[in-house]
Amino acid sequence: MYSRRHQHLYTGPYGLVDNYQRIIWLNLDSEEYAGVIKKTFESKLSLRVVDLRKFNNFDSATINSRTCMRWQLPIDVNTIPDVDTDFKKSLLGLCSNDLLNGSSTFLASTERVSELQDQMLLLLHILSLHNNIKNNNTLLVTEQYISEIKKIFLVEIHILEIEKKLCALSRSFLGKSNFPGLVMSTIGCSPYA
Amino acid sequence: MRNLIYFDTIAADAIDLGLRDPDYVHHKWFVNNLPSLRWPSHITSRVHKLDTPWDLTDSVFPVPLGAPTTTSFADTIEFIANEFCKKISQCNFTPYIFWSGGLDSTSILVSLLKVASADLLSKLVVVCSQDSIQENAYFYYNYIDQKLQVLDLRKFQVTQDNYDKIVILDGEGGNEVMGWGGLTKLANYKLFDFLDTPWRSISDPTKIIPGSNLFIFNLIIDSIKYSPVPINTVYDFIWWYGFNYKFEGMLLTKMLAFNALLAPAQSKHLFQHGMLRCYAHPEMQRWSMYSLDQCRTKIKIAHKWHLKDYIYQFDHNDLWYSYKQQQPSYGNEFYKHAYSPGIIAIDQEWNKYSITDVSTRVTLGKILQRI
Repeated sequence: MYSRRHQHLYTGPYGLVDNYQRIIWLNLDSEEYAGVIKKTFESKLSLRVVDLRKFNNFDSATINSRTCMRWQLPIDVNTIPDVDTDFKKSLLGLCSNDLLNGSSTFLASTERVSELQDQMLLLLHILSLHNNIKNNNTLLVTEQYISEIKKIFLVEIHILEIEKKLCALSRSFLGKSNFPGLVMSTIGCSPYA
Repeated sequence: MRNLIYFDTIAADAIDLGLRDPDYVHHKWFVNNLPSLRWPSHITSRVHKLDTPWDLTDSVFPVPLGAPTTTSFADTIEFIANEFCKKISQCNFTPYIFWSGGLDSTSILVSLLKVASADLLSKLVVVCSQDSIQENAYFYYNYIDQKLQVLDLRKFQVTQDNYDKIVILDGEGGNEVMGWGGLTKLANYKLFDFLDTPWRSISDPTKIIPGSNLFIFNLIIDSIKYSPVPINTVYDFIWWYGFNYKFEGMLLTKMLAFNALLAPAQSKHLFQHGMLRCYAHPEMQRWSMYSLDQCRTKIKIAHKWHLKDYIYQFDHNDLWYSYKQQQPSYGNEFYKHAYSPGIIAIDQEWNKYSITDVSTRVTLGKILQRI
């Protein structure tokens, strides 16, 4: 039984939406980070970044990282990629400008879905930490560290494995920047091992 | 320009917009200005001869007759992998597999990893790009990196020195055999009832393949009577469109990238002896034809479910299994950089006709009745 590990609260107008089910996996206020997460999770999910403000009923107070997965984009030519207008018009007359609530169904098990969202939340949290501590002296080493972090999220599919590898990676960067220590605290990894 | 095995209507259309003029006698063949249709540039039927203005030979990939030896996808792909391994071992050539990270090429690589000997796997070279790795990083780092030889896609070249010493394995034809992307679109919309509907009952049949017109629809209908298996539902109809009309063009177009540096006889040799294409193998085509109902049912879970499941049983990557979506192959990167622009036709001896040659343009003008 999986219990949630990274319940950081985020909200914002940029939704990470999966192409097949049109479910909002995460919404945040940084379009840049949304793009990074989309790219980093490319092996696991076909995601796209959608500006949710174009939907009439989008409310960032209601839709956040804890509730967003109950929300889904409507079927519309603007919400499904790889479908041209001719195709849509010829088969469907659908056009809605409201997000749908409560109708999400997932292809993976509930536990794996929770775990996958936790993976995204963890990466987002690390990116946010990085943004807060950016300083020129350690920028180079931090970029290398961040790049290695992204690779872990790209390759590994289980959160325990991700945390284990993040821990090992962070230990190897200790002393070069104060950032690895923050990451280690986040995942509960001891620097004394 | 006679006995052609390939004729590119898009290349012709690109130099003469007048071909689309409704008053032009052969305008119906030049419909590629309809982006939603994705009508093949090389228009041919694999089961009957079309009355084209240009002189086409019989199909170089005729639809195989007979029933498959097994109804299992896994057994089929491994049967083919075994045959390929035997061939590679006998000729002692270097095998290159084009791996895009997508379903078609990954399923072939899985079959090789399962059936090939350690010796053969030590010779196998995986041709891929950074995008391939990005598409299926878990598979790359667990089964390819540090385990198999890897070559950057941009460095791969078939030359006059190596063309008869290599074999190329690729996933081309996978979309056409397993169901063209139009099926994915309908599945994305969850229009499963529509897919189950008998195509003959659709009041406006051109809606089955959006962007098509009556000429195209009738071409498809003409070929259906030669299909070895019944084409009943909308699903079957769309599948048949890809299987019969798109398959050959797709496989031949990609050859233009592989044989860009080769003389005609060398190109022919490579095509006949150097290409090991799992999804063009007669046994895979037979499996596809006789599994239509199965595939139509499984599309409710996922398009190309059989491939996904086969890969999942091997790598247990449930996330890729659940969420991997069909997308344009990154292998296209290779075709873009290796492709010889301007080739409008190939004849059965693999002479290539380029639009950059005056004599080709003059001949083309006569064939198309433009001069």
